[in-house]
Amino acid sequence: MTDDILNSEEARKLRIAGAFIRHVIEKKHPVTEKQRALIKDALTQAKAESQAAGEENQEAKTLDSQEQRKSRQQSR
Amino acid sequence: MSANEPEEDPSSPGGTWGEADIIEVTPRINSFVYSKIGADHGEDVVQETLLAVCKGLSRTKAKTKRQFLGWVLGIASNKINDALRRKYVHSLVEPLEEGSFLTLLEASQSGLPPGVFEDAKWLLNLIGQSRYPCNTLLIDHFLHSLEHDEIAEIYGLSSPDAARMKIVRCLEAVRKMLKRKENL
Repeated sequence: MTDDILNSEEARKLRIAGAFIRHVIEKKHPVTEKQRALIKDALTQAKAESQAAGEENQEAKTLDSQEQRKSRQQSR
Repeated sequence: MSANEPEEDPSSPGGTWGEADIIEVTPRINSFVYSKIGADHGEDVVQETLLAVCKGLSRTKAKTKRQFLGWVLGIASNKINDALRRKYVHSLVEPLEEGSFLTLLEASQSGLPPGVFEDAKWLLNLIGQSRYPCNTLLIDHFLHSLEHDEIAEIYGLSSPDAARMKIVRCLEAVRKMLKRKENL
């Protein structure tokens, strides 16, 4: 047997058979309503967290630039 | 992934992924996880995977559907390994070895081209007779159509070529073993 086994006719047949097996599993386990709800909730939460982090970051930047301005004024 | 899947993803130019994309790959997550650890334990693992995908969505570098699926299945693979480490899942690939799964396959074979069901039984035999990590490698390659680079990443192999060689060796070993058994 050579490395070419993965390009052989047998491997091609096994890939088709594998796709059939996968299809059967996917058919038996479609996306559930519970999974859809979980995705929706998790994305909403992730978005809120990212917005909060962005706002915090913006606030920190504003404070930082205010501090820098103050410091520059004082040094003058 | 398989050759017949689109290389590019016109619906997500620049790799902006959302709810619809996650829902689209969820059956693949289900089959990836359930083919390795079954539905009983797999449900929690799929849930953990979905949460991690949603949380990490803004950080993915995937630009195409194929890359996106590879990223998602990589996360699923990590979650399976976590479950194995935490010992609430004890074994891999049992679900495919159960007689009930073969019955399910048999019931689903109508309309298939001739020989596919027999090939599927042969593939299940090859997987069932292999030990870890060969069994999961064969599942990842033949059932889930993962590319060599994706397999290399999941299994911590040095290169796509190392992954290809590993799959070849696994196939070679299990075929030899089955041949020896036949000759006994």
